[in-house]
Amino acid sequence: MGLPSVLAGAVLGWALGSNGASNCFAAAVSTRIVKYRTAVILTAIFVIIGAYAEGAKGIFKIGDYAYSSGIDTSTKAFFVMLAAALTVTLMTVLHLPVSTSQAVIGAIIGGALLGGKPDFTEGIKFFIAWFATPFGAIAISFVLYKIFEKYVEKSISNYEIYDRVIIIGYYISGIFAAYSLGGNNVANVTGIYVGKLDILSVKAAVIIGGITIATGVLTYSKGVMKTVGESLVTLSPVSGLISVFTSAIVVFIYAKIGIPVSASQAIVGAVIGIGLVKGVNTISFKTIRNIVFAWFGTPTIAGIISLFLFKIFVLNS
Amino acid sequence: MLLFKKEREMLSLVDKHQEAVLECYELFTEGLKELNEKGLNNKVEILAKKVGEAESKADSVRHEIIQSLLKGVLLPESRRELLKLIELTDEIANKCEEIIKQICLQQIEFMEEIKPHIREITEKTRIQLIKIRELVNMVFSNMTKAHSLQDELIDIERLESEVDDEEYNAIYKLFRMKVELARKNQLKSIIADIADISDIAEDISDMLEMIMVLRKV
Repeated sequence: MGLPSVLAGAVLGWALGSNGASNCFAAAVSTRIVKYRTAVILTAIFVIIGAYAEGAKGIFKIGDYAYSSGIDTSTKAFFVMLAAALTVTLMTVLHLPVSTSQAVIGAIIGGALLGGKPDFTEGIKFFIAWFATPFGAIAISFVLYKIFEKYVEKSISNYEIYDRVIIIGYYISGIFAAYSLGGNNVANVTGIYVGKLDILSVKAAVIIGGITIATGVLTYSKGVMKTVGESLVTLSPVSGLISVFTSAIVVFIYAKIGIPVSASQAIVGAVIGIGLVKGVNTISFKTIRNIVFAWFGTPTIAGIISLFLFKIFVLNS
Repeated sequence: MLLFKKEREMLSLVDKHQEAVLECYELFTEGLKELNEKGLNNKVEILAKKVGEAESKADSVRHEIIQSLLKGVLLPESRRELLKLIELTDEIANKCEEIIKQICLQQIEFMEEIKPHIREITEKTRIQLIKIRELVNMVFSNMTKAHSLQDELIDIERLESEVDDEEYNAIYKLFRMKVELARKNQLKSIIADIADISDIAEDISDMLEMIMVLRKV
């Protein structure tokens, strides 16, 4: 069951790539600064590089967390990942906000409720990180925007330099976002198979995880990229750039800590932070509802699906 | 810097276009001045030809700019802004060519009472166009400085309003003269066309203001 179990993770990786990774170049593609083809190729490459260079820490953390919660066989790991993948797919189909990180933790807890021992103490760390993601992004984008306004604006007052800075900035922040996302989110895809469960080595986990995310980006990210981009193009070019860059910073920090978080929620936080500088209310009821739903709804749904799968397939086997 | 070579080339073309349109307008005013001072003569026709040549020159620079934009320099939004700006500026040259052509074709001459108004309209419009050229250069070279040129934008608007007044007074006088209605209508249409150039100049200044606002961080 070892390698077939990894298939469930690969499906989740593909869903993550087609959904979450679209944030990296969404604004740049929607404003036609970067071609879609270039965007997906760059995202795919840097997701793999990021996963390889930064993914180990998160992979260990998720692996340990799952194992200590009782996900100690390849069959259990398979159903946890299947539950997470089904949650992400279902919510994407229903156009509901979804975070892969939150789906994976929810699925681990759900499975552990029946097939193991849910580790809520350790789980608290993940919950805190989720809450802190948009708030951290608010703070970072607020500071970045202030710095930009005070020190950078004057030096890019030339029309051509302004345009060049924005174009290069979108490439750099998109690449950075893809790198951070790979480093941070690869743990969601293959973390559960590493460590004491030992289905995959760390090296194999980061490579397989990175490749599956990249496959999702390359094959099925156009729709989400368009939707995310449309919400960001209403911002000025500088605001759009700072939003993506902030999200990349936040996700990168959590990659270093080793906790997978949602890049989409980081972007939402960044936009709110810019709104605070400009004195504009960018917080709508829908935005708050989406984030709160992702915090509580996603892990709950994933947990319930996982619980059912464990009841049907694991406990009865 | 080599890095900005393409953009520099393109922006120098924008200035070249502004220069060509301004030259076209200068020739156009010279033609009107000649017409008002010495009546419709050979020199007016020569100047009309020169206006046409200047318009063609502006047009070919406009094409060069479009070719430059096709290379993908600048942000797509900036390309759109630039195209609009060039189209509007080009309209001035087109208008000058058309008006002076019609004056020669229809053998139009203004009455003495109308001439001072025509002079005022063309002079004020000329000042507007000079200010616009400076503003365009400023917006493209130093946006921060351009922000401090709000007075210039207000000046362009004020001049447009003064041109409107001159146009109104000229037409007011015209329709109280004892001339045929057909001639009144003919002159009214030409006066309105001459004053229209000032409206276009104001549209350009609005556009520049929009560019500055949108690029403010």
